[in-house]
Amino acid sequence: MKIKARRKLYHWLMWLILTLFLLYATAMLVINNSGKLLVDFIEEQAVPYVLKTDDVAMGCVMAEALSLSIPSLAQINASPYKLAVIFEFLSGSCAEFKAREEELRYIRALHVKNVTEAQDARILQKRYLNIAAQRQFKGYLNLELAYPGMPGNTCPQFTSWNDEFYWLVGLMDGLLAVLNDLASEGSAKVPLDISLKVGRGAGCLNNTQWWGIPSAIQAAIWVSFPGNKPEGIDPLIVLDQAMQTGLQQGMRIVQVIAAKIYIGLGDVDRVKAIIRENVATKNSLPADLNFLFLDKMATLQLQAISDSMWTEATGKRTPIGGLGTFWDDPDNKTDTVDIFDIL
Amino acid sequence: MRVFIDQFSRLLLAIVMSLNCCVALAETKSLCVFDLLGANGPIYAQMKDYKIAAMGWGVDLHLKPYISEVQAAADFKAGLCDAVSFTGIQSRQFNPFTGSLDAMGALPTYAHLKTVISTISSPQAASLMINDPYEVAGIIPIGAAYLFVNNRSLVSKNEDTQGKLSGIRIAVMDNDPAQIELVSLLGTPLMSVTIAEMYKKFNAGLVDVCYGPAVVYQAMELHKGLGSDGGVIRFPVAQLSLQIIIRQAEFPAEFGLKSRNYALSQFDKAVQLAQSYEHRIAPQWWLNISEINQQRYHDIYRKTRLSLRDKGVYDARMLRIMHLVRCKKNSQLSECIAADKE
Repeated sequence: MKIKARRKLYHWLMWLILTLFLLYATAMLVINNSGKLLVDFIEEQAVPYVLKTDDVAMGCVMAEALSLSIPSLAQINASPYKLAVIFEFLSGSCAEFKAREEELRYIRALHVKNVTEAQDARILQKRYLNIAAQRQFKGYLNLELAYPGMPGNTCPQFTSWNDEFYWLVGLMDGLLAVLNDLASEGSAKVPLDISLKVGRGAGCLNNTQWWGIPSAIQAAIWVSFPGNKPEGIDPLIVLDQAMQTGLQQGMRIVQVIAAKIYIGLGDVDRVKAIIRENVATKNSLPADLNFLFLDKMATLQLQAISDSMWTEATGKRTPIGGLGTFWDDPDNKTDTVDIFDIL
Repeated sequence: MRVFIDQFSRLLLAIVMSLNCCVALAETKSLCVFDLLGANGPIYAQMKDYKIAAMGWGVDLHLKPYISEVQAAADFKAGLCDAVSFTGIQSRQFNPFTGSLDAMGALPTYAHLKTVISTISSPQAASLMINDPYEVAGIIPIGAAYLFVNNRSLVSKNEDTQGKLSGIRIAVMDNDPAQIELVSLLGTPLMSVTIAEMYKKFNAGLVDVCYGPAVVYQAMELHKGLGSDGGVIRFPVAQLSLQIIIRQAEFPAEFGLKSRNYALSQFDKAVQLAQSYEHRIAPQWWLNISEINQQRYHDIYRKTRLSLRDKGVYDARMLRIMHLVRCKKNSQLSECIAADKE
């Protein structure tokens, strides 16, 4: 009797162990795949969905809130590096927007000759630029994790549109990290060789498919580091061609890069022309509905540049509905009739 | 009491109005700023802060970016800019005294440089900063320039030979007669290049030696030119500086002095930045040179300085000040008792 009871106990114990093992294995399978599923979902569904929306401010806040937790997906067997590339890019742009507000405060303070206010604005501007540089640098480092040893050395074998998109955003992360770090007195310690790597990395993408952005990035690098420019190439001609390539597809993001290059060169007239062209083409060349977010981002960036110019000249930013116009535009003569006889 | 309040209010109003009047009188002047990255660069950012300081001295500076310092110098000369900021090499044509601050091997450390800049920024030295119609309104360090070599045996080999460096190809900037003179003294083939070409040629192995501040190591990917055998010689060739020059008559009387004091107050921050770039060069790349070789380098540089002084490139007064500073910091140097002192 005792033997029979013991056998029964062993039997149940075996079932219990087997059941627990199966449960554990299933749980592990779910956990392991849930990480991958989650990352795949965000990469292939959520990000393209967000790109169809046009609320840039919300996208920036979303990225700022979630960026910290993205790397934790690596703990459930996922590779969240490409996601981090875009989330750090967006959260970096939040800090950039704040830095731009401080730039405007600096210019306004100088306009009314308030030295202390201007100094304070510059301090805060550099702090935000430092934050932007740190975030964008993290984004670039994640590009290096996603494509080990590749940026600047070799080109990856892209398997999808998504792959190329994240590569492009990662390169932008690197370039902006360097520029923002230099503007904030090098406090984020971003390696300077990133800029040349970005220039070469841009060559891995088809310029026409990516709206002229790869060529515009290369032009930006060649203007600043002429020693790396191929013989017989004029970076500004390359830049103009890149802008046309983007505009023909209704993608105006390349205009932002061009405007920033011309600001660097101090060519105010070209910057004004780019902003005017951006506004003028809004109706004739509607934005690609799949990338409304990028088009809106381009508009906001150009508006920020316009705000700086307006504030420098008048103490105030671009008037409502005034993007594409400038304070020194010739007055349009008002049409009137002569009423001398009835007075 | 009411009368008192009334009078006090009037007085206060008068003070406020007079202040407004003075601030409103701030003159607008243009400052042409050289920065390889133009208005997006770090030097331009530095000048944005300088603009605030200048506003406090009654001048509203309008900044204009330049990515070519030769063009900035030409526009300044042509009167298109009231003030300009660029490297000491360019400033030599406007003030040979401060333009000699980057003389070859004259200032081995940042402490030496600080003593010199502090000395010449004082009110007593004001006349040296003026070379009519120009006035030097500030000097800010960019960083020490070092030699980058593609073969470290270039250092050890010459320790023994004491001879000329006949086989070594050294890149020198075509707009700096000092570098050309040094290379001719060394007896090496001259490879005259623009700054844009210098690092490209070094990385391609077309020259064996190039030079620059530590910041170019990363920015120009010089690790490619160093290869596995190269290194950076831990012996500053020169102290590079950013100099602000104004057309004296265009600015208020005390502007230059106030501006020089401001620039001096930025010294430590600028050196910290330069050192942070030096720290980015990994320790294994730095080549320490022996006492004997250091002495040789000192001798070569001293000969170059004297030769360039006699040719009118370097200003004798600046060489003399730098000599005094070197001997103040180390009186045991052989040059301190040499017959042909600078």
